[in-house]
Amino acid sequence: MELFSDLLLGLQTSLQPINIFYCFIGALLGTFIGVLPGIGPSATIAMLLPITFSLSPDSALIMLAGIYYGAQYGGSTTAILINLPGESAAAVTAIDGYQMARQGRGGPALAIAALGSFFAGTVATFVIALFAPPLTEMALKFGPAEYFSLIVLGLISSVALAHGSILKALAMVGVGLLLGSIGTDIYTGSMRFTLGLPELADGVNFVSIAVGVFGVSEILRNLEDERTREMVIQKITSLMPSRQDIRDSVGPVLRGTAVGSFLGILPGGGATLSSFASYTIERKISKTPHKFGKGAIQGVAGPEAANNAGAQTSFIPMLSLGIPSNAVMALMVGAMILQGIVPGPNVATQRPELFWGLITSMWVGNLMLVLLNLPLVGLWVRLLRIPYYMLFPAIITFSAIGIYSVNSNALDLYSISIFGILGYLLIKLGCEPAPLLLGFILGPMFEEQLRRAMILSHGDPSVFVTRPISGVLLLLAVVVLGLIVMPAIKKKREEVFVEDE
Amino acid sequence: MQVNGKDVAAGLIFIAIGTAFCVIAWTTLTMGTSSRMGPGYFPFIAGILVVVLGLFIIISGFGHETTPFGSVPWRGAILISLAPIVFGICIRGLGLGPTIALASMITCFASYKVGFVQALAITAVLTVFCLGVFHYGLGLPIQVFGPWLHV
Repeated sequence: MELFSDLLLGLQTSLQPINIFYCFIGALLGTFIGVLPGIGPSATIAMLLPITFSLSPDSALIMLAGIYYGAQYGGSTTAILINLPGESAAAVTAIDGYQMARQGRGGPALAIAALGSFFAGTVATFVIALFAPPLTEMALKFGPAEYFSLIVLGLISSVALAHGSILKALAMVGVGLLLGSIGTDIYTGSMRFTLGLPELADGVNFVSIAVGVFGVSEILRNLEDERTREMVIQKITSLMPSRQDIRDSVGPVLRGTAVGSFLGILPGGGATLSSFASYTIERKISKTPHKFGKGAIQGVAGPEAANNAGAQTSFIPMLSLGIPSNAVMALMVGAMILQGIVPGPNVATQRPELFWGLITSMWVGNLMLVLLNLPLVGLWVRLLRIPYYMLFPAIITFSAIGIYSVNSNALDLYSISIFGILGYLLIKLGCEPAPLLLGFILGPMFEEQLRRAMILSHGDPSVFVTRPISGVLLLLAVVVLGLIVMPAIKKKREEVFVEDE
Repeated sequence: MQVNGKDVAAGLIFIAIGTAFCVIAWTTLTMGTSSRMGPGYFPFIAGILVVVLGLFIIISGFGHETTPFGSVPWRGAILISLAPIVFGICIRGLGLGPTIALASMITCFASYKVGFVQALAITAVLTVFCLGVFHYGLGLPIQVFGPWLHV
């Protein structure tokens, strides 16, 4: 069995003491920022990217991945105990979880959330191990035309599944592509849009953009409304779920895992979308739909399993194709580039220990998260008393030191401010920042594949449609685009994302 | 006629960004042909795309009521964007320690809730912690006190 020997190889990497340590740090940090409202995984990973520069590639990626799925665990604690989603994917959990806590069943809700997440995480690890290699195999046969079309499909569908206006999201992708073209042209070596600044020869620093549009603008959004949060933290008496709770949760957890695993793979999918979809399904098929919103354990078990599964399977396109499907994956790609690894199908063949190490570390991390979250829940709840004004000076200083440490370039620091203000302004005008980051990270690859394909076809653009795989991918992109502008689906899409606010 | 001001503003920003890139690409870079694209080809097309999308966003704003822009934390916006700039200007001259303290002080005052004593306390803890992690822990090759402070 090749799968098992691969997993074994991965465990050899992920079970090295140093990697267990960084996996633990990642899971710990993830839980921490997941519990705290007002700081999400994107901002945290952006902030820590420069620090990972000094680690080995496997430790760096293992830690960053831990932050993402760790945040899914931590987010549910806040959602259940104080009715405030610590993380956007946990917004659904708050609906029924908080009601359970008010009825004195907060403990079982937390336990089911953690165990459901653990189960989903375990399954998702195997899903990644099963699906990533064949996709990689396929991607290795792709020529430039196929890659170009794949990126088009990826960008279009991530826009379709993002919330807010589609036009604005597309324009943000465009701005990302433009920003990505700043720097030295790969074919001719001529300087593009550097405004005569030699510091821009390598392009705009990815970390500066990420910290600006996620970190700085997130802080500013939180500063808009600085009233003291009235926090009533519900008491936890016992963590043990009753037999009935477990019986009620098995189905939702299984379905949530399936839904999450599937939606996570789609571009633009991931944790948040998965948990919303799972909640909708559970309410639809339930024999007692009136109990939803009043403390139904199914409404906690399903979405919690789904968001964890979705968070993990969204690694599949990133690992096997090198194409990030959401902002966190774009940051992971950035981390790889920072480490000198070219993301794409070659990672699995040339660096199998890294590829499988990262996959197996997710299972190790999930195990640690159950242990971290359940017995220590009281400790995490106490963290909620940290006022926000103590956090953001730390975020800004950490980011500044980290970014400066990579290139010793003051311009990278000025870029944080420029992109922070631009990002905040655009967010206020209804433009989500994630598509910009995806455009920026995919831009150079997109342009390179386009130029290579056109050289090979002697300037004939019809290759993109006449080559079968490329044609099918482009057709899919058109279908996706067509679907979201169709009135019925447009309305449904708006409904789904209204709850998401 | 009602117009959504936010859509118009967003559209104008996109048009401005797209136009800037198109003009620079057109005037300073070679375009090449479709079989041999020059450095300006791709950014020019992307720039046009952004401009066109910007126009559509403006058009989509017509006939819709404007939605509130919401409050802006002016003090926060100014101080938080100032901090990285000050950090960038001072890091070489002042060294890691004083620069961290300076950046932290500036950011603290972004919140209306932080008094002077609190800001000092946060700054002191943060400076010690950062020096511990970055200078002693990770061994960052930046002097703790820079040349401006050497007398």
